[in-house]
Amino acid sequence: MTQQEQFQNYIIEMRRGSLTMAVLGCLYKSHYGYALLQTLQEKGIDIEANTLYPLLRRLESQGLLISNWDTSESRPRKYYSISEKGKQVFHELVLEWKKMQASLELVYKEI
Amino acid sequence: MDKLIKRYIYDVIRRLPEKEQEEVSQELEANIYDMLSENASEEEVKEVLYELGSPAELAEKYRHSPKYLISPAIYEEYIKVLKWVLPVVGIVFLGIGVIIGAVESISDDGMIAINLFIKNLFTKGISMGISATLQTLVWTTIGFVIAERTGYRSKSTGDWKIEDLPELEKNAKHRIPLSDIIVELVLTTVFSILAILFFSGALPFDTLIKIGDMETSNIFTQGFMYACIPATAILWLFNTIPCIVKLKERRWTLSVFITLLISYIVSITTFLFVIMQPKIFTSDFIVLVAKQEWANTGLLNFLKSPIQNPVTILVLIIIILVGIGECGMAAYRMLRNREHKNKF
Repeated sequence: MTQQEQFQNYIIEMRRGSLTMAVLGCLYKSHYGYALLQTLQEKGIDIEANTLYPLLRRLESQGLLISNWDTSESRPRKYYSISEKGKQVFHELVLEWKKMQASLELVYKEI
Repeated sequence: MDKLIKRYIYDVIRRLPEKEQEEVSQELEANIYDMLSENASEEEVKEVLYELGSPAELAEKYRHSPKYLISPAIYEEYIKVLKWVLPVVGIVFLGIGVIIGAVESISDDGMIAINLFIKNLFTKGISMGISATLQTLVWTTIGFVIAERTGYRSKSTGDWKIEDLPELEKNAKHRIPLSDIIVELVLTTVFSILAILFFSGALPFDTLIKIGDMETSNIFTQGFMYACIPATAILWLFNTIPCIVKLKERRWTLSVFITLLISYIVSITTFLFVIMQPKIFTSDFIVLVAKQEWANTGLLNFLKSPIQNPVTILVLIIIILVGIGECGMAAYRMLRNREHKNKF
């Protein structure tokens, strides 16, 4: 494994945990899959379609998201939005993330 | 172009559980079309499909439950259980098979047909041993699969204790050698089978005692012989249990010591039960011995009523001493094993 690949792995690992938070946060406003992908990418969050779509289904099955099919347009689309349980989890995740950031800040300052 | 998308979606959903296929198919289709522009070219479709990646990989991401039978989280435990359960079941059922084979070869006159006996020994013993081992393998595997699917969390992932950590020194001299345990198990089983066959009068040969020109084939009374059959079975069982625990622990642990202690207590009790039988030797045999020149009053008294005889008491004392000695050895080894463990 080259140093570059190793570095990429670290980045992927670091991102993985934050993706759930990013998805939950964005879905306070209802989105369909591809629109959410674009919203996330606009915000600079690097996520691939083949990661996002299964993640949406998983979060829905865990009760963090709710979905409904919009059939009013020519092609049906599945819209996702955050559930009450999802909101709770999101808040807890944000708190934890802030704590983590503060701790890392302390570590970083000592350098 | 549509066909390409349909083929891609099919390749994904065919790897998913049936109840999810419909929903994933619709959603994936909607997502793919969203990613394409109006009247997209085939090139564009291909680009989007490549962006989604290999269907197998995508399906893997969609799947909630694991596809493997035994997941890596519990694999270690699964192998650990098999390693000690399979040999135990194999040997125990080999023994049972041999007994059944021997019983089946008893002819009407109560004797064993030797040819049939040897044939049964192999066919019954080995076939029962192998089939029991295979069945155990299948059922243990099914048990693990069900446990994992119904939410059992392995110790290594859920709650675990410091004591569950594996030993550092795997081949330390404090380990009980596998060969010792197997030899002990096999010898105990074979000896017990022979003893039971002897006491039930089903051995393929007659025990004939011949002194000078006098002979008798009945040394022990029928009552004594019958009492010995369950006694031997109990002795076999209580000698097998410590072996199984040793096989599982592979170290001189507290549970090995406790089962050994229980085994000795049961052995001594069983011996007492056997020796308490009112008559052990047949009058035929006593008469035979009494007629010999070397027979003295002490020996005859012992033969007539062994129960309160000093010889019996001496034997009993020896058995108890040996038992205490072996338990003491086990205790010593256990303490040494603990000491050794604490060093790490």
